Amino acid sequence: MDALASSLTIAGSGLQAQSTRIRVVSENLANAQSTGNAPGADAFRRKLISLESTGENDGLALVNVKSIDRDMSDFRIERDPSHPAADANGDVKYPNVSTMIELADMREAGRNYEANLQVMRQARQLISMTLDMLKER
Amino acid sequence: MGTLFEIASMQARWLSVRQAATAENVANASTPGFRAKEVAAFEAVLSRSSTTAGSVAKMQTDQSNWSVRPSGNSVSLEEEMVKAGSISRSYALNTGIVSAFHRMHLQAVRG
Repeated sequence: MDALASSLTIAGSGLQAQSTRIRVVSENLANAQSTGNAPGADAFRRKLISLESTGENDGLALVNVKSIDRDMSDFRIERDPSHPAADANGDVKYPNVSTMIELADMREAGRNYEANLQVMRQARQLISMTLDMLKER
Repeated sequence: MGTLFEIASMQARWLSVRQAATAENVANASTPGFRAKEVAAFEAVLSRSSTTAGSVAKMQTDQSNWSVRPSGNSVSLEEEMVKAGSISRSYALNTGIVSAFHRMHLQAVRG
């Protein structure tokens, strides 16, 4: 494939990966207070996205989502005996989501998205420069 | 005249491979373990005896990395943006020269 057309494909894969990343961040943020229902039940576990690049040796190094796993770190424990999810000691498990980390991650994903968009814009510009050579002057 | 167009199209091809390398680097800017790619300098491509289509440009791992992050990723978005700017400028110059010479060519033919 033509190199300029393939840069469009590559930048497109970057856009898709970064938007999935933003989706995961929004899931985490939306569920930052989602506890369980039954007494002592687990709360929402934070989701972790990992990216990988394909075609390491030859061809296009597209990026895609390798997996979306759960963060198995400890829950945040708060004491609230009146909560429906409180255990025998009155402790409630809250999600292991840190709003600060999620926001930082979202900012980074947004910046990467922007960079990919810029690459795509430039590839298109180069293609149209090539086509402009055909124009009668 | 023929060689000029030949060299110009060679450089255009080299620049588009370089653009693809930049695209790969930017797309993989947050992939763990990804090493930035770069193409050999155009001078090196020019001095090569064979100028067949395939050998114009080959991507390789970039040796002069600005930084390697703890995740093993060596892509620097700033560096890629600088590179993208220079690609765009060179490409504009390239297509400009080609169309100028083409115009001159046509003028010479018309007399």
